[in-house]
Amino acid sequence: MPGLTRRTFMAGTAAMVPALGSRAAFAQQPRRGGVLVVAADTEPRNLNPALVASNGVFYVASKVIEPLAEMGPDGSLLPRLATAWEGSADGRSVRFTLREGVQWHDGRPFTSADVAFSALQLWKPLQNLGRIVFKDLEAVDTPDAKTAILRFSAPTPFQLVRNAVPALTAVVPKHLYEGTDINANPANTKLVGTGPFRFVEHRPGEYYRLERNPNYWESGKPYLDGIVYQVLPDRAAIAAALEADRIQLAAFSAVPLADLERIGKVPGVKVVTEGYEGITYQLTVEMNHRRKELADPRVRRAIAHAIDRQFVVDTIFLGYAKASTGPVPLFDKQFYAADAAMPAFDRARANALLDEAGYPRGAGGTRFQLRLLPAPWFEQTRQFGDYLRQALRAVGIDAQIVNNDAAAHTRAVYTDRSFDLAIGSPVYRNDPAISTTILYQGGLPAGVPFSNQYGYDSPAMNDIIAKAAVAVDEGERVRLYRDFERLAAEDVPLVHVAEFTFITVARDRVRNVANNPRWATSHWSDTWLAS
Amino acid sequence: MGSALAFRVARTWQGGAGAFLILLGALVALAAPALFTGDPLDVVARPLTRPFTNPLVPLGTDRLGRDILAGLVHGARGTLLIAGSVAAIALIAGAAVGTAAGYLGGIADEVLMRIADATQTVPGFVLALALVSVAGPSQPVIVLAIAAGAWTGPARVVRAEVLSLKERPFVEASRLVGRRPLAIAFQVVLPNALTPLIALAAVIVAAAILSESALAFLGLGDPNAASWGAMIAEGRQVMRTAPHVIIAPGLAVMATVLAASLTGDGLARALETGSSD
Amino acid sequence: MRSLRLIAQRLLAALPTLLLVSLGAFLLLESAPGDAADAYLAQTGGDAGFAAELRQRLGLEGTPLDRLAAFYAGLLQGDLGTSALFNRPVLHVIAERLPTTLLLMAAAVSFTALVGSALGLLAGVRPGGWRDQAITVATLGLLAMPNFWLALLLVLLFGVQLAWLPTSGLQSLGAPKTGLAAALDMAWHLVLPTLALGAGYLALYTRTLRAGMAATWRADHVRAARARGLAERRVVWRAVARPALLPVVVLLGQQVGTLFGGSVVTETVFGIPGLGRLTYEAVAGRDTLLLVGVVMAGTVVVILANLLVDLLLVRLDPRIGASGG
Repeated sequence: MPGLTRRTFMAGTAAMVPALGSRAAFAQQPRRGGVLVVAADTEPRNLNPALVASNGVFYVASKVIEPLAEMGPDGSLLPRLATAWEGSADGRSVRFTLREGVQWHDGRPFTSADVAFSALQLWKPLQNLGRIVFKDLEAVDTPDAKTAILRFSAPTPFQLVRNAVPALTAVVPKHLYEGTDINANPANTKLVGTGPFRFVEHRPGEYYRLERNPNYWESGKPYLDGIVYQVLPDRAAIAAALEADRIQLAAFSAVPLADLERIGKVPGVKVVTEGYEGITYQLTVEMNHRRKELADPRVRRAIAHAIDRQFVVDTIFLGYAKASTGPVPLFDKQFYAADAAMPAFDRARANALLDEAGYPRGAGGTRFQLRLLPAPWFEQTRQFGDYLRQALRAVGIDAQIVNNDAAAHTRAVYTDRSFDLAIGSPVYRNDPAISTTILYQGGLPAGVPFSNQYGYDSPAMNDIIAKAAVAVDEGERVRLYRDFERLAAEDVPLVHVAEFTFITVARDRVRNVANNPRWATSHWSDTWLAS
Repeated sequence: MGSALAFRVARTWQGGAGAFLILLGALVALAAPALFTGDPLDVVARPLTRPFTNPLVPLGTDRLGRDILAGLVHGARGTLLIAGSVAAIALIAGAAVGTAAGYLGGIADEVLMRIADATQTVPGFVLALALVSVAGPSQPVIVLAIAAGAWTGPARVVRAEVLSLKERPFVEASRLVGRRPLAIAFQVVLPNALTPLIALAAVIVAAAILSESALAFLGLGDPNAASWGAMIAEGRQVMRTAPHVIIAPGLAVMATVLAASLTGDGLARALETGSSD
Repeated sequence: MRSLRLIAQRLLAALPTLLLVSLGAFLLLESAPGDAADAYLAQTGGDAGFAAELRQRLGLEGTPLDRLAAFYAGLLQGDLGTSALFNRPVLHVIAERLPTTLLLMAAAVSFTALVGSALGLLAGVRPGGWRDQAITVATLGLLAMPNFWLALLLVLLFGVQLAWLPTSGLQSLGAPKTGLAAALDMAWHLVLPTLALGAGYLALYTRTLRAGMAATWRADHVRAARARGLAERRVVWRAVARPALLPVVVLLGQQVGTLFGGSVVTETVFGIPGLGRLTYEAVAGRDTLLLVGVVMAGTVVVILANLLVDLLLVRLDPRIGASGG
């Protein structure tokens, strides 16, 4: 059976190739003009990326408000508002050289004061991720209008800052935020930035509308006259709208995976699998170590052995994912440790481990019962819940699924800790220190979403994490994180099952789609519509 | 009286067809564990197998490779259990409230009827949706959530019946004989209100099936049990490639609701002819 | 005079209903697992300090009782509070969505009442005839159809296979229209949602009118009219159909109430930003004040619709007003 689904995936890929090939074949001159209508399936209420670093926000806001730099194809940095960056050897300062001749959408000039203000008043104290990376930021020096020097009170690896720049350093105008209640500022919903598009309006439940910024710093760009994000909460409607050319692009797998093979064959529609390498999601099983059964590493290993990752990839993700080997995804060549691997699929081994741990099969072949809470974030997290229930039954564990909505799941798992197994999908943000080590660090307070709330507390692990956090030397830092991965594979505090990115479906005439690893959350200044 | 009514109901074509369908559904639901021994939520064959191509899964499989026929049969069990329980609870609770309101009168009546008014202004489905999202989807919660909006009909019927009977001679007589009010309510009032209640029960069952499937469609079904609404929700993603995935469970919902409405219809017609005869 | 008394009576009776409904909605969402901050954090993540600040900002400190008291204190001054989800006054959010829902409901009510009554009339002219039988079977089928399923089938057939009608939103984007063109564009977008939302009630209208007519055919005054040799068409109109219209009007009032429930699903499938979807969003976002506001707005609409229907009934049949309600 897996072989068959594998073949469907290959067929899907084959259908894609002409679409990609045609880009090169036509190699037309980019054309100016046209409004691109794209699907949006969520409506973030706070659109300010300097406050909320999340993909839902970036999808709209990254066209209006720019970061200092964007991620390049090989994981390197490409200049946006900053043209050069340099870290000091002691990890206590990072110097950014800023772009000349940049204007805010309201006509005021962009200067280093804006960067200093954004860093000290927004990223560090208020931003969901910046609070972690910039926690030791002490001051930002602005010797001139085009230089900003970040100063840290404790060593902060330059490597970490570099990896964090694309997602965490959106710059907002100081003159609109200074002296106001930043969280309540109207500019959080009616954005003002330096980006290629200006924010026009948001009609809740209907659309966001952006229009071309004629004074953009890169002359001749953007190509599009505007972008409209049509709110389409129903995913089945998105495919229909694409086929009817009522929308031209749907990102973030808004078209269900199961529909891709069919829609890839519709004339005029292309399926693009690139453009998300820099925003990898990981499918995980969180195990509450407060349950005595799950406190035993043998039981946790057994659960990992019970999961057929390839089946999950082939059937639930229809091939649009990779089997996971640990906390760092394969894409991140910088940190990936090839020799660290989670226990592989082996049902006999799982049964043996459970017997060994002292949980023999009882009546009806059941060893013990667990509550399983699949996160509602994705269709796949729910479907994997159904699969896991079946896979665990095969090794004698009876898992009862408890479905919760987003608020109830967040509360149950990350505050009340009232679960046995939970299925999660943390984001890997190109550096383990940003949102990955908190999945392993012990002693975190309750109420921190997407962190270790399952009670894993290993002194060895805590030690590695603490050392790596202040390791300024890049070689040493990489070594420490590889140790971290090996220990994670040994202790199995949680199981990494698969890593997945997203799929974009677009009309053929939308060009320059997916030309960087964070494309859907990047600027789109070079995106254009062929006639 | 009961058997004569049943006979008259079965003689109308609506009643006959409805009763036949319901019996068939109940039989299937009862036999489900014997017919399909495994868990209907298990992956058993290639995903999206077309119907009538694999004898092991005659109606094909869904997006994950689960047997659609097994889902339908086990879904019948869940659906009928939920709808039946909703009707039972709504009737019992409604009858209790209606009797109390009608019998006690005064402030108690006023308060109970205001609560019924308030409940009725909130659409039953919205109420169920809110309750299930708050309490978490499991079969008992779903039953209570749907019943929470369904008791007002029976309550009004019983109250009206109590009010009209209260002053009649035979009730008066029972009271004079010294029977307790509760006993009078159960022995005299309820039997008289029974016929309209039975007709109402059919309506409640039909509505409960639709509500349950709509809840499951919105992701608020019991995740550990097969459900037609959930099958449709799941199949929606692939309805363009494999329409059978949504058509089969949709038809199942329709047939069951139809059976309940037909039975109710037959009942109404039988009562209509009965009273005019 | 009688009408005025009816209006006063109803408005007075509406107060306890509104109080109960708002209290119910408030307690319901306050007792739900997780709060507005959890719903927010589920989308963004953040550390413990972030969560604490968020709770403070959203006014989630203190007990539910404090918040309840604050809500009713505000309500007395006509303030429905601030939506946690939208960070704007609840009243503004509702005012934005209400017209859309009313439009959809008006479309569904008028379509179903007209077509449904027409079919009922057709069936009721000759009860037991082949038209009657066919229409009876068809309406039973329609009644039994889950509205979300019907919506999917409609999308599949008219939106995708035939590609005649738009399947989402209220207007064509990319090329905004004005004036008459915009109105037509919106009407065009409303066709499928109206069908999906109204189908069940369409069948109810047909059945109600047909049943009423079937009963009146046997009534004495009809037999008398026939005996007097009145033209058949006039008998149908005057003696049979008109009295049977009363329950149809009653049904109108009921439909408005049920439509709110149906609109949750319909608005979701067709991507229409109305009160139905807002209810769903308020529950998912644990936005208590917004839910209370939405439920109260819905209740007011239902009460007003029922009042309107009753006034209409008084006009149609003066006996009704006399008997009280």
